[in-house]
Amino acid sequence: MATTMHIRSIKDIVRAIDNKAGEYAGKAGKRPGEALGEALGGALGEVLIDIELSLLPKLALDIVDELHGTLQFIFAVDERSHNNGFSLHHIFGIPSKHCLLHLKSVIPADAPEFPSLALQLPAMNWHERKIADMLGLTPVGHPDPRRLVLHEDWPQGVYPWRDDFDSKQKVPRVKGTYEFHRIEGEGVFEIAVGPVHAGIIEPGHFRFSSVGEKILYLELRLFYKHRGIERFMRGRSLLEGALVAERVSGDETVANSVAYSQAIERIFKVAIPERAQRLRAVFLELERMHCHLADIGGAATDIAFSIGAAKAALLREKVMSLCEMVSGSRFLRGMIAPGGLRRDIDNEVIHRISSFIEIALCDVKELEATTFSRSSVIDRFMKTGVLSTEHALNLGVVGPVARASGIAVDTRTDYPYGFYAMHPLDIITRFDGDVAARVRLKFDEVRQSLGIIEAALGAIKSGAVRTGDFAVSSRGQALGWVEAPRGMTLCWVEIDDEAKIANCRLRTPSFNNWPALPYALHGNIVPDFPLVNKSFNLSYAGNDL
Amino acid sequence: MRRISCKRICRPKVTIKDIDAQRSSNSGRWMPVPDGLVCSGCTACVKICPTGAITLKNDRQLVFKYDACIACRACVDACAPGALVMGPGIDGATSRGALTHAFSINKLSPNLPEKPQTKDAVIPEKIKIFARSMHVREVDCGSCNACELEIAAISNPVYDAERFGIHIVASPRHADVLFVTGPVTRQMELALRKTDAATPTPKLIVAIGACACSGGLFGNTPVTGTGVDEFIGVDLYIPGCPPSPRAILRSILALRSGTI
Repeated sequence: MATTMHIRSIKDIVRAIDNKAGEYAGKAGKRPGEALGEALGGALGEVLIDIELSLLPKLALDIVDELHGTLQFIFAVDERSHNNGFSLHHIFGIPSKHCLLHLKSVIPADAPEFPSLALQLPAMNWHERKIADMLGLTPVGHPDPRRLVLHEDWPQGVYPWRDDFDSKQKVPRVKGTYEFHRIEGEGVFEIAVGPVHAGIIEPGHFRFSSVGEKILYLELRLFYKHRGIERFMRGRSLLEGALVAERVSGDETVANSVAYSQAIERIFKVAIPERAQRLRAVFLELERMHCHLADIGGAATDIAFSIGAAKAALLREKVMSLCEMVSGSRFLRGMIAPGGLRRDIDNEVIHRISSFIEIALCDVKELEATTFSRSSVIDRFMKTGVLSTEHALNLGVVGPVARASGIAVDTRTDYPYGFYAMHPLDIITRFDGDVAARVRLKFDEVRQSLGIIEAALGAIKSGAVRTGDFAVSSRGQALGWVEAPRGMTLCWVEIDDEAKIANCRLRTPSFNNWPALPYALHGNIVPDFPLVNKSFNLSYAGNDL
Repeated sequence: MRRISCKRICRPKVTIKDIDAQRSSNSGRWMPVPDGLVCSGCTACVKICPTGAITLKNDRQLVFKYDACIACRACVDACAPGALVMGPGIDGATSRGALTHAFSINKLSPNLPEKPQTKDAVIPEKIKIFARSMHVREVDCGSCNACELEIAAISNPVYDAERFGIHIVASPRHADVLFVTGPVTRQMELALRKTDAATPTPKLIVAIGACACSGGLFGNTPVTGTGVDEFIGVDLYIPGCPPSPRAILRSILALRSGTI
């Protein structure tokens, strides 16, 4: 699958991408994405290129500078059993070419290290530290070599992603303490919050260094919820993989399972039926709606604006009840599987979704008017938690957070898949980068989602919702991508000869967006932290995996 | 507008029937149950269950451990004779044993065995003192966040847990009840123990969701435990993946009124 031509410079990479685009241009289609979009549920999409490890730093910087690529995902896999080393994968998004560039290099087993690029490309920071924790590969020259995923009581030299790790053992605890960054000076004090918080939210530790009310520095310490999902996927059947993907992050149930299923479908080269594509889009947008509405309500709660919170909760409950009516699960669980949907839905149910759109549009309009007509709301939302475009770009921020800071990125448009390849979207952006921009953007996106649902159901035809034979397989790997409510989700899957998952790597949007939170908070006051955090709407479960 | 009477505002004796009255046709606590057809004993459901919640006992009984069921429908899809359907599921129980149900494979009955109802249920003193007021602190020990969203939803205007005297508080020091979710990850174990120690007695511990009840899908790995009761005592198990807000409320009200 990988391009065999020898890659020496950025020009070779551009040529490889253009060659692949040329292959697809032969097939019918008006836009670059469309030809393959119809065939495989993806755009030009993943372009896999093998490179030499020594060329990586130069190429990565050139991709960012010359092709305006953004780093999305770095992961590594233990391939010592059949490849005499570890494979290191860098995935860059290049929106101008509708392409996810997948650079693969090999780290020899006897020299388990790779050049760190976190200083030049800050977006790589957490990705490289995660690889160091999980596989014991050292990012040489990393500015912050502390542990990230595994806390200090995890013994040295035990790496869960290595093949020789015994997944049945109980790993002993050792003594160790995490060193927080210290901010010193007259009047600087620390506020420690978490991991158990005051609200009904997930666990994580926040260490504020502040002077009076002003936040000078915020350090995040997460990964309390680390469940070892990526290791857990090994050896699972394809259906079990979908069930695990559904349970990675509660309000990204559909997004994660679709990303996983698309990766499997791309390995087996299966094109799912149009009805399944349309219904997947409907489920994805319903999920985006309830996730955004929870977020809008949460922001209202955090400024003690009860009426807005109550109205948002009511509207969200309507969406959840609709999901329950559609699938029997309020989170739309048990619907998505490789090859399409696990079961069809009745035409009567489709009719009820369509008739819901009109009601929801009225409710959204009323909710927005209620929220933004109050001076108390505007006072708290405006100019709070500003994330500058520059920081957002450097940190590889995705999803609504990036779009509210003026960056036009949207997986549905940049790398169209499934129904979105037939139905081009406008990317909604706002430019202030503050809480108000993020909340307003979410209102716009809820309305956009209703439009997509209407379009997807408008021309839906009856037919099969599942296809493909996934029983016979040979070793293969592919990437799946989806615009989740929080931004781009990437799922890379490798399967073995028996159609079981050999390796799976997952990156939810929260993993890219968490490191940007402290930058948005710099100079804000401590009481605004919950509000800014809510407006980012980050998942801990999806981040910690 | 009509005058709202005190009775409508203050309803100290709201019962499970009131919650039942709100139930729509889809109760959302769907779990696999036999539908009365003949089971061929092929064990397809046993083999496919990702959490090992279904076992075949002595070749004669199909045993469902609902504390581990994640309602994924894999067994229903795999059942060739169609003897399994998604039923209304079951509410919480005070022990994991009470969430295990055995069905004879010769005659799969759709009815879950019901506990005989007594008029004067004996409510343990520990539960009785919380009969009208419960202050709750939630501790997430590695759930996927779906359980948190459903727990948060019980306070929304639709379910409105405050009318039952169920109030979410910010600190374990203020709490009577701990809601615990997740299989308890290695990195949350200490926080859970500390939160438990910080909660004054008498207290109730409620395990919410399949992960918290039994480890669920993610339990028993090097980085996760096998549910909350591996670490601290549990008074109420509420199964489901996730249990709906209605199921959570029903189970808690049932515990308070001594019907489970």
